[in-house]
Amino acid sequence: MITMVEDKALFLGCTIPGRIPFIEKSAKCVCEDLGINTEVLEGFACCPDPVGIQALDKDTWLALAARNLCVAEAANKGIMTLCTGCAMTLKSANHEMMCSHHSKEKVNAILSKVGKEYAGTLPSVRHIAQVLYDEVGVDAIKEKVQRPLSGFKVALHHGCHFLRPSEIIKFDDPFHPTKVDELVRATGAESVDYTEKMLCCGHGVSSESPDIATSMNLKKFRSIAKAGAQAIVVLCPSCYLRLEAGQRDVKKKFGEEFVLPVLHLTDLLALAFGHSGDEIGLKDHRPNPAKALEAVGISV
Amino acid sequence: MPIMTDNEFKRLVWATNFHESVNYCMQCNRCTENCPVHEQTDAYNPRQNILNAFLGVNNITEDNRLGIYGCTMCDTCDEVCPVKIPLTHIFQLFKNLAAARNISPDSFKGEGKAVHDAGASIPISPPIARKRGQMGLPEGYTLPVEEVQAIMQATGFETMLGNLTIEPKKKGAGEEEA
Repeated sequence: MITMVEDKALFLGCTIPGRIPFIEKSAKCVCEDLGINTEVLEGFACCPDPVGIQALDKDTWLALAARNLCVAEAANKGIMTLCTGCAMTLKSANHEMMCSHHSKEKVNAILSKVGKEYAGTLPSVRHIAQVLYDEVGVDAIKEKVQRPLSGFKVALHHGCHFLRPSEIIKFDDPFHPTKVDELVRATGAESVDYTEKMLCCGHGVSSESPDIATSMNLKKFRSIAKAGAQAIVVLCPSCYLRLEAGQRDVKKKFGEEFVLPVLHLTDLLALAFGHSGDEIGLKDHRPNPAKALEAVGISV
Repeated sequence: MPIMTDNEFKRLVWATNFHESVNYCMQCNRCTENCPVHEQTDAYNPRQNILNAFLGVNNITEDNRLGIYGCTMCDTCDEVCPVKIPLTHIFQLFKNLAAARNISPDSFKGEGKAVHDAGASIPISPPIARKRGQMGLPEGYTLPVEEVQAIMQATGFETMLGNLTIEPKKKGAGEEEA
């Protein structure tokens, strides 16, 4: 059973194609398996980053985001992102353009310089996890599983912008989310409950103070280890990079060692759908999740 | 200690302060109690920042960098605020004002420059392009750099970028080569 999902404009952002392209690969495998047609539209640029670029100048951030919305609107395809930051930026810009006449006029005046105008007819802006849950459905995903990840315990880290601001994201409870856990469980893996599940990865503050981010990471890793998880599952490349680098930083600063491979949700799904570790570049994760999977008797 | 009010700053806060919710801040401290950064350091305090915004106390100085950029943008404070103050929006204004005065983390400035020059905050480097090719992915994508630059000119971003200085790169704890 495959639900018909409307064709999507795949918005890759910057971090996945430029730093960790293996996530782009696993996402494309998953979309193909589930029959989701995706196209990377020519004309997409940086979303831009809600943390860095918005902090420099909010008006520029909004105008550049609205420009990306125009590109998808012209193709009449809903946007699907792999990155929580991109989803948050584009959802926020869409929200502001739809709800504030003042912003819409101001931004469209800027966009006129590049011959664009946002009318507000974009079908949707969604993160891939939202598309999988709302449009494909947990049951259809279960049917595609060829390699059940039974016995694999993972700590799901949603990432702040996947859930908040909830009045704009409008997907799950901002502090007690359950929907992505269902997607994780569909693969056969166990999504462990842990105290610091909602703790931020620290990416936002790491630019100003790496030490604070490292202390936040220590708190998170201790909680994950205590819950007995063997890996971390994320929805965002910034969380991915921070939680990988965080393990090295924590070891350096506090002398505590954690071996928690980080996977994007699409990596987990691709493995469950039968793709090999080589195909989706598992060896480029640090540490390599293949070892953690082998420990529970799953060969990838 | 006398409190110095900056009227221009207060005006800007008011322009960002939708529904004038800052007026109703009762200093209940729920924002600060739930802030993951405040838990690590007293130097960052969202409640104090909102009090400053309400009073018009402009605390945007080089000495107070952590007080501004300590915000990790997790949006927790907005969600827990009982009077629905858009705290993160107001802190964004603080960050924008600081950035205009060249008080922002170098990585943000570098990111602004990368988006201006390449249309992407992390352009695809030659080794990554090779890796992409090996994985069966397109080696790169064409980005509309001219359009991005035209928008940045129109908003004054390009001019601001020209005034920012970036220290030579030191390898910090948060940065690793991919």
